[in-house]
Amino acid sequence: MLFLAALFGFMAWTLYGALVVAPPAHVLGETARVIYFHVPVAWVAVLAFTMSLWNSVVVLRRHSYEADMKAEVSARMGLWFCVLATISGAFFAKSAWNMYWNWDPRQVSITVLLLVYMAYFGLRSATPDFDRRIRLAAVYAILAFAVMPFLVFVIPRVYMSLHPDTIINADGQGKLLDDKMRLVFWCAAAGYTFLYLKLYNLSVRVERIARRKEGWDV
Amino acid sequence: MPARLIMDFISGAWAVMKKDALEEYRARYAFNTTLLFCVTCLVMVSYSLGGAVTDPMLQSAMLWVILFFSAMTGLSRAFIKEEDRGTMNTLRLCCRADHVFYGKTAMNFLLMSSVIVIVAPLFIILLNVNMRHVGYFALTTALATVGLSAVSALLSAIVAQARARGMLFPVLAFPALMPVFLTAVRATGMSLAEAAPWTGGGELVFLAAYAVAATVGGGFLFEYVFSEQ
Repeated sequence: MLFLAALFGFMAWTLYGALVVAPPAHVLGETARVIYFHVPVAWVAVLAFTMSLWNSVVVLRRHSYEADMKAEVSARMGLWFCVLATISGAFFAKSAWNMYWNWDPRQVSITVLLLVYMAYFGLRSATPDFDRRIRLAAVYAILAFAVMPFLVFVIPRVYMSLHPDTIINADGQGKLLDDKMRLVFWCAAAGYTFLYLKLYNLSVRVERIARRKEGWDV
Repeated sequence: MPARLIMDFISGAWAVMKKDALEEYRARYAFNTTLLFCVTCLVMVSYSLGGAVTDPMLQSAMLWVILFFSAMTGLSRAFIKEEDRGTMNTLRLCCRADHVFYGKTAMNFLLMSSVIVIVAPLFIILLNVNMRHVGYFALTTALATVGLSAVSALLSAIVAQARARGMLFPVLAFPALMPVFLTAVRATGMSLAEAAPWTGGGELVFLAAYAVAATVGGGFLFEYVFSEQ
């Protein structure tokens, strides 16, 4: 109950704060309001992929069907949040750079990340033997996660990028956000994290029922 | 004692690589296919450009697209052939997982290096490329090939145990290899440009970091792919 109250509280405040409380950003103007959606969604995608990684490691160590189920659910959710981050980023790009897609290093990175996790599901569906599937999928999930730091942190810093973190986060600590903006931003991050945890919990329960119906011991 | 372990490791990996190299020397299947694929693509690209002078970055992108697609045809067979012939279980019985992984990675590296040694001069001739920094280009291709070989060996072992292997390998490999591809294109473009490429150095460090991560991490992960339990 407390969890649901926190979730709805943070999400309602995020919606209100993002549209009413937070002022327009100094350089980016009204378009900067996208950070209260885009950044938390991207953060949740990374969180979901990290959960998928953790569960994949558990699969390899204990050959656990339960962990495989959680890894798959997390990867699926990470993929959807990644899609939302890509779409919201494209809308920002249209507003700021006058085109939805210009192969900015951040856009390259997120596209490759999407492809990596789509390939993960491709591998799962191409491996009919269940025991083999969970082992191979776990290895690929770990490989996919190992690629992520190169894509998310290295490539955007090696190549010239128009991504606005160079303006908003020029000092590396986001200090160019004013107090109201920072408050809304952190509430949004918390709200989306709670949303992810709730959706994850529901998805795991649904998947468990589906797998039990298929005869798996989870 | 550590020296003995190292020697044991080297001789094990060497034995696997030697087996594959001998097999390749007799049949020349992967080498011929990969090389012919590269040469055909280069000729087609060169013919369609009609001798037009192109941007160094575009030339570099064309070279790496060709090399990557050829790698997908040649390197995917490292474990698929073992599974098809039913020799995978023999490998499991006779060799340790790390010996097999590093032996196969070394063989992949040898195969791709041999192809690149022939393809690179053809690339320079057919596309009218002005190669200004040969050392930088050689280092770029060597580092990129190490990462490519290690990841391909691991993915080939995964794909060999799945269905639709031919289609699945590029689907799994391209996203995982994309960081190498993007950086190799950029670094090769710099080796064709007039400005000295050594001053920045970020690309080579990135390729080296990826190569180390792929080789070491691949070795750890391969054990789980190789074992049937």
